Amino acid sequence: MARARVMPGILGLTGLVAAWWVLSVCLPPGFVPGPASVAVRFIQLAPTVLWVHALVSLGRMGAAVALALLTGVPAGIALGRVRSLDRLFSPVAYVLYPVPKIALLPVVMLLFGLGNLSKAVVVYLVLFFQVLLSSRDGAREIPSPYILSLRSLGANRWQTLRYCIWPALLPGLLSSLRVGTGTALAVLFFAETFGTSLGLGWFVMECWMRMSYVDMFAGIMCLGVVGLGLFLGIDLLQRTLCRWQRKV
Amino acid sequence: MLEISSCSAGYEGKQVFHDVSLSVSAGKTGCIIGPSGCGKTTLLMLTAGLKRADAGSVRLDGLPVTPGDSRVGLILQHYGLFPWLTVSENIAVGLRLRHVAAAARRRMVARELSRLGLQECAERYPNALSGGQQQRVAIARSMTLAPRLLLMDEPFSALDAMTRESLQDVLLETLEDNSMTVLLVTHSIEEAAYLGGRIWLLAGSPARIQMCFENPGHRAPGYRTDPSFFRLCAEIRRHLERSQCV
Repeated sequence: MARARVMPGILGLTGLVAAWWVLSVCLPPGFVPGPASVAVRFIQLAPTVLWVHALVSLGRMGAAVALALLTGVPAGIALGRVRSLDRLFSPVAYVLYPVPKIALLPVVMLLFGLGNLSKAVVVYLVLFFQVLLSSRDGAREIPSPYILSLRSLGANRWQTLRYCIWPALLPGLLSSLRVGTGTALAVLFFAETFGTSLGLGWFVMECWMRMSYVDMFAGIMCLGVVGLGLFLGIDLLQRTLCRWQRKV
Repeated sequence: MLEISSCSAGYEGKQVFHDVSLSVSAGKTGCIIGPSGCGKTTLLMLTAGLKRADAGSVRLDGLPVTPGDSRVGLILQHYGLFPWLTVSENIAVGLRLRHVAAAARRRMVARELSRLGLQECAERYPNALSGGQQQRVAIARSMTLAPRLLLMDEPFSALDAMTRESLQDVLLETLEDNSMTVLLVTHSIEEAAYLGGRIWLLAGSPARIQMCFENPGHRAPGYRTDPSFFRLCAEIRRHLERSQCV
């Protein structure tokens, strides 16, 4: 069973490495280093340098995710369940949501300094709107029989939240987190090129400046591994928390 | 005893039904029948305390019904089962909301599971059950709280004929075991005539009680094939056709 699930994934990744190898061979030497040399460099750098940068990036990312969930979920539920709040704030969210958050980086740095906080805040801004809107939609679209059943069983507001609203919006929330994580990583990468000497974004850009392309690709590989870890983590959460959604 | 006195209600200024009065004696079953869109469900929500009446009152054993009243159980058209809870958890949810201790909860859930023949489904999720099984779970969930009044909104409408009839009998057996008052809303003439001791025809715009049928033979063995059952069905049908609302 486990083998049948994992094998196609390994096959896909092998295809990716093969395509990379073809590219490295076809392009003039030095343009794109081959997967083998990058993998060797990655293994050399991972325990010495890369892990620190990966950890710092993950920390910024983790803080942003936590903050986005802590603020976006309650706000989304409030908008989803209280129509007057929705009418007041949803247009605001629609205006702010498409604004590229990276464009706000200068303002964020001005307000929150050059340190970790401003990096986490920019990523937070990317994730917040995804979480807000998916929580709002999840809370709004709960079929009324669920709510009525609970109320007839004597549920108060808190119990309705705990037994109905939260589980109902969880699948959508995790999907939005999955979508948001990709964008968030890209934005974090860019944010890390300013005012820091830690994080994978800084590492990759710094290697680029030094024209050490093998190191640079080792950093990019590390970014990929971090992304893979995050996505697998969200998948795992979805499987454990939304067991009822499994196909029968 | 359930008493609905001169109740009127509506949505956003439009009156759905007007001056509805009916009463169901303790331990008896009353049915409301009427065409779709005539406010049957609204009347049921009002009786459950989940909607406020514009006028009139709903009393159970002399006391007004309040939202989430522990004396009232409600079973909705599409069962209202939570897809994210297993069958056992669904049945236990009312007990959890009322802070019943875990051991007592397990005991009560096990009793309802076996009474309704659901032991094998206990750990499954509702989406893995047939419609008939889901309806059994909904009945079991209401039964754990031992309500004095059970309200049912088209409980068997989504089921095939054979399952529907067998579940109607399951319901009657359950009612034999627990003497509770039942008010059931349906658009099926046969269902009303089989289950209801008294049947009200609700129709018009705004809807009113058009007719009340007494059904002394209901709950008798073999009633489904009794000539008096067919006569009542024909009589209800005649009145229903005459009073179709738009």
